[in-house]
Amino acid sequence: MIERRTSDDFAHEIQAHLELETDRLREKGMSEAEARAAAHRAFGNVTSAQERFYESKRWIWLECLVQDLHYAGRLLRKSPGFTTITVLTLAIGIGANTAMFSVVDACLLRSLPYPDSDRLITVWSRPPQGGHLGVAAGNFLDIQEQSRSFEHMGVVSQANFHLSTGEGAQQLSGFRVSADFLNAVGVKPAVGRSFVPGEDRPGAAPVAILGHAAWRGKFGGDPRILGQTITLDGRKCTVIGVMPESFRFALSPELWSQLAIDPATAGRDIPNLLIFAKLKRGLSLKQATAEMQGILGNLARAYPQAGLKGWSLDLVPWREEMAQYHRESVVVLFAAVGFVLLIACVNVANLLLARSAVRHRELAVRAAVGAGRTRLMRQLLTESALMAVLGGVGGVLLAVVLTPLASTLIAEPFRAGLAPIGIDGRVLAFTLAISLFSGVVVGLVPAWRASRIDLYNILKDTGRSLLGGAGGRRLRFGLVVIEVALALVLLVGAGLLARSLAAYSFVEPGFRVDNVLTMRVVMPEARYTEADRVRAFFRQLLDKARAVPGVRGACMASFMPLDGSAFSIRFQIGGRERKTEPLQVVTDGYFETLGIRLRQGRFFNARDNEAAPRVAIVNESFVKRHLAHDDALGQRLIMEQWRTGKEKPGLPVPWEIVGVVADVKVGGLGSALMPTIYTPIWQQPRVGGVLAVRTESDPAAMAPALRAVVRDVDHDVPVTDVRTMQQAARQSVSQPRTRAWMAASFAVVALILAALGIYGVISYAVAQSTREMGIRMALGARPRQVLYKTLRGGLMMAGLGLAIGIAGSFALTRLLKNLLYMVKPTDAATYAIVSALLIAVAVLAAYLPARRAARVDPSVALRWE
Amino acid sequence: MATQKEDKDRIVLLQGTLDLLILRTLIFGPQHGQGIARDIQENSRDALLVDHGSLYPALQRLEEQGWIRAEWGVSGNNRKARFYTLTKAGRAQLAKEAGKWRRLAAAIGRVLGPDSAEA
Repeated sequence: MIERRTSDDFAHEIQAHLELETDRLREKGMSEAEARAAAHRAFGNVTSAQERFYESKRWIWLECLVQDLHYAGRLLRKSPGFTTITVLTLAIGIGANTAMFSVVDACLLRSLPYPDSDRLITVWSRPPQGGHLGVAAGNFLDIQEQSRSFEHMGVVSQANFHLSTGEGAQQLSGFRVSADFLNAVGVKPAVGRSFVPGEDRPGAAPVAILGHAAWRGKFGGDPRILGQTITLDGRKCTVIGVMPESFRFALSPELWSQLAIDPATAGRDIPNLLIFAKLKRGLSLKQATAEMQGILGNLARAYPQAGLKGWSLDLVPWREEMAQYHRESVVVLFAAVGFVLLIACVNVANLLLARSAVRHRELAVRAAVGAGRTRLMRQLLTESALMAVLGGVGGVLLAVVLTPLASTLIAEPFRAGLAPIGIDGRVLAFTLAISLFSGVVVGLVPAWRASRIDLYNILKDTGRSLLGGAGGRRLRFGLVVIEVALALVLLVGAGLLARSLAAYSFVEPGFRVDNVLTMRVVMPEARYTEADRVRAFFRQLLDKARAVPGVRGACMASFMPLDGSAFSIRFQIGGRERKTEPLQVVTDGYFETLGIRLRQGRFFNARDNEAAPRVAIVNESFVKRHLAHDDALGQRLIMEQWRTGKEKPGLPVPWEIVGVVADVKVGGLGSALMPTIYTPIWQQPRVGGVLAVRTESDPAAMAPALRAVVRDVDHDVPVTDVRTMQQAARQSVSQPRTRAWMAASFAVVALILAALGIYGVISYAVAQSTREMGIRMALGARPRQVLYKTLRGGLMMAGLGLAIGIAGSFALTRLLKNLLYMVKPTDAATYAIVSALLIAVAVLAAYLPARRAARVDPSVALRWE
Repeated sequence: MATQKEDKDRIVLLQGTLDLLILRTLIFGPQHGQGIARDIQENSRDALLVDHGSLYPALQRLEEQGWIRAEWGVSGNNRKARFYTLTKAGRAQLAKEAGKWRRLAAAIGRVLGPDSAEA
């Protein structure tokens, strides 16, 4: 590049030109003065030439920017109050958006934290009646062998591991996987090795890979753990690796061990394994699906007894599988927080408009001395952009606090399998983008108006304002209406979510939630291989638990209400075709301890033991669906009976229905009621289960005593998931609660901003019309009349905003449908309550400045200005 | 107001044309801005009007392209002035542009016909 030429040099050159030209003209016979004038005339506008020279430089825009920034910075410093309010308003909007975006990014936008994670596919089987199930072990082996679309393929099954150590027993949660599974995910242990082919066959030595956190927490981070043996489920097991610290997987597994599948005996009718596979590069999901469909078709024909007719396989990217449960609530709340930012922007735009009304003389003077229209606009936009960037910085600080809160929108087990939620480069880029966007949004309207300054009138007239005039007032009025409308939409959304949350507290769970403590008892399967031994453990445990002072009743069950689990059993009744329904296996005292009501017949008692005839209890939903026309009592259910320590159940045998009980919420308070079968634990014991006790007082306080009881019965049986039923109930609605709280906070912020908007516009109008008010009052208007006149302006804004907001809400809240519980998106009560709230706030916001107007002293007002 | 009454028949120069004429003028040796303006005007027998004000941005542009270079010197009548010299690249550019211009002028002449071409 050529060395930069100074404008001085350029000015000299022009000067030289003029002198040379003057010389020439004088030689032609003009007088000195004539020649000088003619030379100037021929040259034209000297200043403009200089400017054109100046602006031809590439860095001119940069210099203007620096100048504008300088000026903007000075202005912001000069009015710290104004600056604080606008920057803070923008910081709240930007901060909340940044926090939400970090969640949106992790949940919906970015890839999972594995190499080529977009090619990581899960394979689900879809039965003819719909829904997603896993794949049976035998079918998996065939699929694995025959498919050509995948680089790696493995299966996973959730597992709890029983770890015996010198200091007692512990439970580790984790997964059993086939050998190629970790390759499909694309993770290698940080130290040690992965599973090798053949390690997932019967007879292979048991090996385990520890999760990093478990290695730190439960094995003291000891690097010598590699190659050592631990006692897992009563068997010696070699630790072959430790996962990298950065490795994340859903449900935060503590331990990975191999899943042994015996090709000779692997079944084809229990679809309990989930296939993970890495799609080959360049293959589409469609091609892979077509191939898998063909394989399944072959299997269905080759093994008719497997009952695969009409089934299909669904290939779902793991990323999609992880995202789908939270997509709706994340998107809805992201939209809500976007509304908050919009309201914040409108608010700041309004403040800027009000201020530019005050600044109009300054702008007019600048225009008069030659600042071009674009130059003025650029300066104002620079001011607002600077403000927004400051707001962005504040927003990032706020987001540091808000992001952990926002991330609770994703349930913990899922969050553990996503990229970590936090503020990183991508999120900061987003913040910068929305900051600049906000800067333009808030600056555009004032800048546009300022650029249309009518110089003549302003400079002539010392008059009040151009922007405070009718046009400006209408504009500001309009902006507040928009604010109010947006705020109302948020309020309605938050109100609906809050009412849904409230609806959960009126849910009848079907049992008494108070004063119940539950804990999962994990018995090592290796030692409890015989039914008698399991029964003996349960009997001892219950006897001792019932003897603890403060315990009113105790029971064991495979699962407890609200935790969402049940076995699934195929049964036959009245000679009709086989059906499948949930099964709960419980001890006597179960219904009494939990407070589940009896509708017909009797509860189980201690005599319904292994020696007695097999009995069952069903719930009302079951009767409604399967025994609507019969008397339930005395009917026989034909079901398979489990055999302790055996993989496969025995042959179907009859069970007599002796009682009908009330329905219970099994899967959380919001879940649907399920037909359920109960059988006594004594007649088909399962290893492990949940102990529940009803206590006289605070159940949480009883936990240590009951832990001691378990330890007393068997030192090597760990206890996990100790919680009260009330905690379980609360936990089961934690997602709706988080949603409602977040929406409510957004709505409150929106409401405050809208109120500030109304307050600002009315205050400004009052300040502008002090003189008018003074005249009115001097002519006999009563303060009350002045008050009403002013209030009317506020109410009009609120009313118009309300009308638009209600229309908008009707259109938008339909999107909430799936997030609502027992509340319609058009719930009239919600609309009425939030509208009333909004009007009340609007009246208050308008009343404060209006009162000031009504108290105007006419003599002061007339001297005003 | 740059234009005087007697200027109304003169042709206001397009930007590219002005560049070409400046380069053409400098073929005869270094010249300062006022001299360039005067030469263009005289050589065209006053048919071409050079807005002196727009001459300088043009010179600036040509300098940045590297087609001319400038240095301060002293004029015939002992005034300090900035003298422009055609560079080698400028010469090549002139040849290229002049050829193009002539072809264009000839083409326009053919389209307009012999009579109106003279006007």
